[in-house]
Amino acid sequence: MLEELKKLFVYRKPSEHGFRFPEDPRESELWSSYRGKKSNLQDNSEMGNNSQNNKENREDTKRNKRNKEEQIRIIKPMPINELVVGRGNTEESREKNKDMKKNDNAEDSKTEDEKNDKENNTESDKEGVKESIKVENTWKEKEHNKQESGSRSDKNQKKENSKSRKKEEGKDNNQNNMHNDEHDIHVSRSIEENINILRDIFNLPVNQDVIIREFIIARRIKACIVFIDGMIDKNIIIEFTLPQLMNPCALEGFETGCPIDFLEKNVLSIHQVVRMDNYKSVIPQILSGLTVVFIDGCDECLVMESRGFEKRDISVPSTETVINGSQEAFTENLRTNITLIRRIVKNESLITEFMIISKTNNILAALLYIDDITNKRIVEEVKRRVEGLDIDYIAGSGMLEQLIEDKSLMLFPQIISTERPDRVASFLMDGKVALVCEGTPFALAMPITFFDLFHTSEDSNLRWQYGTFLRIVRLIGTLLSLLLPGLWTALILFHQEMIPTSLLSSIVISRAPVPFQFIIELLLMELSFELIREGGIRVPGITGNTLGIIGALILGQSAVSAGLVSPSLIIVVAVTGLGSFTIPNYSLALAVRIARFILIGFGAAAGLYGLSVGFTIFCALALGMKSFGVPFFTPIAPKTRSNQDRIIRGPFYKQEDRPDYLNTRDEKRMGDSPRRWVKSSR
Amino acid sequence: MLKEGKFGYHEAISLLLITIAINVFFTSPAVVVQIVGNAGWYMTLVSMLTAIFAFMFLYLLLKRFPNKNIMEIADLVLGKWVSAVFLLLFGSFLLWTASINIREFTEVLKIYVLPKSPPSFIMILFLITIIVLSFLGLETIARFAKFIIYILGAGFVLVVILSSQNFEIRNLFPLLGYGLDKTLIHGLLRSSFYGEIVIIGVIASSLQGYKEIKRIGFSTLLLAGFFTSFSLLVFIFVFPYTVGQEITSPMYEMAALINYGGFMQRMEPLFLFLWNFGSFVEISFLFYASLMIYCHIFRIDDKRPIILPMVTTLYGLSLIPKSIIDVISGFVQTLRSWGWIFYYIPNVIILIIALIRKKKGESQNV
Repeated sequence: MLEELKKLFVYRKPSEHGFRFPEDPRESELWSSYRGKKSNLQDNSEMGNNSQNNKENREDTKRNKRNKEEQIRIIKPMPINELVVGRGNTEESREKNKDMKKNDNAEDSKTEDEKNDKENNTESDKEGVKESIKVENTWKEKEHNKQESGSRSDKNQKKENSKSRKKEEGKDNNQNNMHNDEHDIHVSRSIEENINILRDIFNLPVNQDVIIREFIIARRIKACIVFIDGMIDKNIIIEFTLPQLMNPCALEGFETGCPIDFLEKNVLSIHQVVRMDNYKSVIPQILSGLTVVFIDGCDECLVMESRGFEKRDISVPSTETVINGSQEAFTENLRTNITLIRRIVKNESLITEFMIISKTNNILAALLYIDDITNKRIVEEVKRRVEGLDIDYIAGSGMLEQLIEDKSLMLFPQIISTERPDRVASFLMDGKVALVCEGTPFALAMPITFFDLFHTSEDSNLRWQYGTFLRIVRLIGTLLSLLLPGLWTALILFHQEMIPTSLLSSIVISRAPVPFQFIIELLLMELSFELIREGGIRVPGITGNTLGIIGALILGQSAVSAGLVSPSLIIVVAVTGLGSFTIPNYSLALAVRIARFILIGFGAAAGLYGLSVGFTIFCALALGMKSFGVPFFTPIAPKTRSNQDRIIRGPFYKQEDRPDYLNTRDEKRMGDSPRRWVKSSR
Repeated sequence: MLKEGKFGYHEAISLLLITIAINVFFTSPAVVVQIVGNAGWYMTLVSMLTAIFAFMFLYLLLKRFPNKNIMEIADLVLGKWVSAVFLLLFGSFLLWTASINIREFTEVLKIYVLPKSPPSFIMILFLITIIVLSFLGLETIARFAKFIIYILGAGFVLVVILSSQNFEIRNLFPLLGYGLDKTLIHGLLRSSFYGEIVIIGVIASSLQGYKEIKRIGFSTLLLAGFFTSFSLLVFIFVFPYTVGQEITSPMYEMAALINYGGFMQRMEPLFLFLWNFGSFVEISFLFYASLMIYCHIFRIDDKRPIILPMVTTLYGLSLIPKSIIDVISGFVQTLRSWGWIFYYIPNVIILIIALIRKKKGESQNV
């Protein structure tokens, strides 16, 4: 028993786990070329020695591990959609294979290849997606022919060719690309070799959640599947992969050569299967929860969609609740979030581009825009900023927002973060760009103005009178939240003569027992309110709400009874708090809360004059701010053409134009007579 | 030279209108009543017409040199050195105007709102605002003007409507004030009230061509004339001319007199905000214009390092007047009566020299 536990928990050297360095000269050569590529990063001269000497290899293990870390860093998982759409990529890799094989079988099949290539190119150019299937079939036939002749080819010659090709490519690329090329390891025809490579990359057996399951296809061909435990749906492997591949009749009808094409078409009943031939693209797929099948004798592998990790169900929005409107919110799962948007915007022009935004944790973000509407320059700018990131770790949209916003010193948000798919859809339809990021139930939209932060999706769902009324209430709430404590401070400390006499007398009487200076009293109350609010959020579930209510009641009542604060101030702080709750955007609400304290300071320093100074400074900063080139207070300052949809919301059928400041490709939201029935009924 | 962003018609009008018309909130109405009695409301229309006439010369000059601002035109017409002297005088005059306005604002604020605060404290807060606005640039100042003009407009209309309870139509008589001749002469001299319109020449590069400048210039002058005339008329309605000339800030007093029962009284806080916001825009704009001229003369590309030294100069200049009496009856009076020499005459001289030397800019249609 103890021995068993030791096996599990005590660290052992890889060699003790049965890990071995290649013995066979043929294997060793491949191995050395693979390891040498990683060593290249530090010293090219050592590469040759490593391949020759196993002892030296062991000494270099530490260095290789460091290199390996670097290799993992630059590995990027292929976007999910490329598994469906990304045939183009595999086509590209096949083209590379073709080139390599051309060298091998130059004499045998040169003319035939050229003919096929020409056919493929012309067909794919002309016919598009449907034709590309034909191209693929043609290519597969051609590949089958090559495989037959490939057995006769010289492997060493092939490796040299690939090396020289990679070297040539490397010269043209920049440093990052060069690193990528260094780790551009081709899938080997030998299953043992592939397993060794995988073991080394994934640090097996130290790393215990990567599973390599070896088996034999139809009792004839060695194979293995690789996946990460917990990331996959086990049913796909138990029910739809292994039984079919291990079935003795699985290869019925297949004769010789690489069975990958046969298996893909006839055996595996998985909905998404893609062929890949390079570890650079395979590894990220494994890390993303896909399962990869390696087959002996094939220099390609099958990447199967098998993601099945736990995810949260779609729930009700927690920060942007509405009464009239959709009750769906984003989740932490990227695919779910994109689906939620696509369900609203059912349009073929809705483009989803996937990008890796962090280097080490390889977080994926999706850039969404409507091709026919969005200004290309905005899309390019967003892409430029996202692709220009050089960060190891990004946890989600909040971090991403901070990394791509225009000015980080500004108090107000420059990108809107929303958890509502319907809002994202409306932004997209306006011509904005959205970024959905793995890991957080929020999407980002840009460029934005103040009015985007101020509006809610409910405004559009309600009749225009109600929508306008709610916006006016919200505006009053925002202004009260921002200015009321500062105003009160100014009036009490500097301008008592401006307060009506009866009110002034009641304030004086209520303040008489309070021992503190007014400003201390106010800050005490404001701080208490902030504490209650923050505590209410952090305390889980219903306790949080209770804490808020009890805290406010008891604290307020007790403070007044104890003579620590005046009742009038309690009212001011409570109204301020209520006002801040009306602000629909969380980031804007936080900005207003911070600005409020600064304005209290200005009010305490110079009364209403100080408040004017503070307000002017905040206004000027906000007016000077831009979101992806769009001034924050557009369309008011600067004035641009706009619908009646700023504070007052006009009838929905009069919201004819898309925002002018976005310079959209299609400026009209609706036809000349959006309500044709009105004319016909007259 | 500074490179400023472009801004549109609405921003430009808001900026210039606030810069010109905000002076009516200060001590000027009382001085006008002292000079021409209750004929001030149409005296200012004479001043406006004079200013329109003077603006014509600036417009002709800008039309002759399309896409150029007044500094570039001066360089072309007068040569580098003479132009530098000319511009230095003009820039200094604008800075001096800004300093007088700050001091006037400070003194009035001290009397009515912050009697215990030292003037330097009030000024320093003001200067902080100017620094922030100047750092953010002309585009932001213009946007701020556009943003607050709605607040100013609404606030002013509210004050006027609420003050209507104190209107006395008979205050309008005698209609001719101290005599038509006095009204006309002072109307001509006090055209300097609208003198800030010439700053349009300094910011010409940020506007959309001389045709737009023409529209902006005339619209601003007409609107400012109407607004000033209306304000003086309302002021006369509320205060008879005998009382009006004694009041330091008549508009502020007017707001303070509002009384509609226990809670609708003493509306001066509302007025105070209008006053402050308007003054921030006006003085920041004057300061920024002088900053632009300075940067042009010495070929400075980055304004930021010189903002603080220039603000310090502005502060120093604003401390020169000994008292509020010096400010109102000395500096402000001089500025309003003789400011036209600096505002309008240089443009006329440059235009004449350009005509004599046959200097002309490139056509816009090329």
